[in-house]
Amino acid sequence: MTASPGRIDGIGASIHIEALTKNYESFKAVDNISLAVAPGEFVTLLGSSGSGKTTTLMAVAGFVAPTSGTIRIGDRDISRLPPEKRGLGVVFQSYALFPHYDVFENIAFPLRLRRLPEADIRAKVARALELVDLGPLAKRRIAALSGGQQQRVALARAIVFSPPVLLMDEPLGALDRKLREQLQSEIKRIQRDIGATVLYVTHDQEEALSMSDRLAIMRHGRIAQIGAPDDVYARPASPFAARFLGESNFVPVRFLGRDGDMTIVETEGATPQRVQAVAGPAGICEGAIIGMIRPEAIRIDPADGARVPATVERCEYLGPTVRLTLTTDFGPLTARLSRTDCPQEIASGTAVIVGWDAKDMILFPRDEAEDEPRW
Amino acid sequence: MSLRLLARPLLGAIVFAVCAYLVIPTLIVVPISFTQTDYISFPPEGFSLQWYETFLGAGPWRNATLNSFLVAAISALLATVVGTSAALGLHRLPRALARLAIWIVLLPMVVPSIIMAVALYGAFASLDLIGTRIGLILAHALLTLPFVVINVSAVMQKMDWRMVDAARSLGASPNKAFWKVTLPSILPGVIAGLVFAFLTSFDEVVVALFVTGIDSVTLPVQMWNGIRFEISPAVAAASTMLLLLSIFALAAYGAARRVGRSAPEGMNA
Repeated sequence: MTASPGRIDGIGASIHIEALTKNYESFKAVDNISLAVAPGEFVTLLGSSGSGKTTTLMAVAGFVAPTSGTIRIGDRDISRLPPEKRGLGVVFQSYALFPHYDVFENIAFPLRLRRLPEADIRAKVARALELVDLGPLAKRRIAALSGGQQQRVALARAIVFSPPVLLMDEPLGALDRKLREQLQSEIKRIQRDIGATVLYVTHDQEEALSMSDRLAIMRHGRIAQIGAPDDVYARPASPFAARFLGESNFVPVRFLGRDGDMTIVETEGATPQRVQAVAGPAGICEGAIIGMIRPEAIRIDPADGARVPATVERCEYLGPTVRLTLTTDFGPLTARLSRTDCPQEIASGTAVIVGWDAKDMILFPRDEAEDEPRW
Repeated sequence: MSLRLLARPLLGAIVFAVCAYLVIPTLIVVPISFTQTDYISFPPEGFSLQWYETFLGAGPWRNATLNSFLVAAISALLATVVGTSAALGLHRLPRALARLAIWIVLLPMVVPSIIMAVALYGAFASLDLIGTRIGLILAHALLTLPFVVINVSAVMQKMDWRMVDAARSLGASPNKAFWKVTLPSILPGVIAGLVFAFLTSFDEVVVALFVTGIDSVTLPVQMWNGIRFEISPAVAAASTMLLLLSIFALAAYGAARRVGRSAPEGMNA
């Protein structure tokens, strides 16, 4: 400890949330959530407002008393401890910095409460300031900082006392897009450097996709799906998850039969098209079903896979990508092509053949698809 | 065209007239206080500092002034402690209950002071508090409580309460979080409340007339007596001194507000 007072010790402990429930009268804000975060892992709770993500985070931080369930950090049960006895690092959306202290004193706050020797405090604060790249601003007043700088101070203050776990509640929500992206990669770098376990809350899907080791999509106080960002994106467990993370097309289809791992379906409409698809996690469904296709999986005139006739309604150039709005016999489709695949604008009204790989259409029972995500 | 050219001087004249109307009756005490006559006269005759001597020298005027300072200071401190606690408590109440409670707290400001005076007279008489300094301090603390609650509540509404959560997460007990974070954040409101409470107590006359006795006379009561029984220019000297005090207090209040405003606005979570 005294050997390297300036170091920020490894702050990665595990988090175990077991059967956590929080009721507000009859409303279940958090409904029986279980979640394990490994040491050094970055897990994001992603959801719209009212999904229970912040309530879950605040229950871990100690500001929300759980109705039932346990929360452990390492092997320590903290479920019934007041926040100050939990010793976790918390970063708030509003930064929650102390305006009556300067930058240095804000970061030194947790160390002074712990009655560390002055030399240790100086060394640790200096190291934390360096980590968030704010070294020269130690004596600044908080009011004289930009939003991005304030969030860095908040981060430094939350990690300076080497908490076992870092909790972040929409920390970048108040910043503009460019700054947000810059701070995303900076938070990731710091997290890797110090090996921090992070539980992160956001409603921004890009943020969740780019930062997380795993993300949990939350809905109605429950985890709708959890997994690595790529897996959740590629294999959504429900139409809700598909809609929530990225864009998606939904095509109503009828079950025809099976072919090995594949399911054969035909599109609805005046001229049904036979296509192959893969079953979603609910298994092979034979009732009313719907196929989900990501816009970037749709190609123009593909050599193999599904091929369906369509008419171009709109063709929009969005920098690196091109968005095609198509009408087909079975309803609208949105396609997202790379610019190289669609070098020229396609006039609206042009008839084209579009298609996709069989593995890119995922089948779900249709009643689930009516379950709109709540924004 | 010519109307437009006239507009600015006209506006200036009206503003000047309104300001004069507001200020001159107040300022008229200043020349009167220097009169040589031993009755109030305007315009003053001659020039003399004798009434300042009467006011500041040993005697009923100085006693009343010191008594006023003592009563105002203690009652304002009392109101500030109770009022700040009340504002903090009100903030935690459920919204509907808080709305009801704030009306009760603000009642002393709404009820006409003569009614407060009669009511307090009745209550204090049965408690043997009439004519005592303690009685007057309690009465003034009650009267000035709303000013503290209003000022502190206003600052609390703009405060980011996540700061208190942040302090807790960083290791502060609820008690430490209050002293290190909550109180410094609401301090501008607390100071403003204190200044208002002090000034209100210092020039309160109606309740003081009912509640004070011979040896706990305050400055406003002494002035009232002075004008009724003596028409003494010492009243003008006292008024001039009070005017100076008010100007200083207002300046202090403005400074406190400016310090409060320089803090960053809290964002809503």
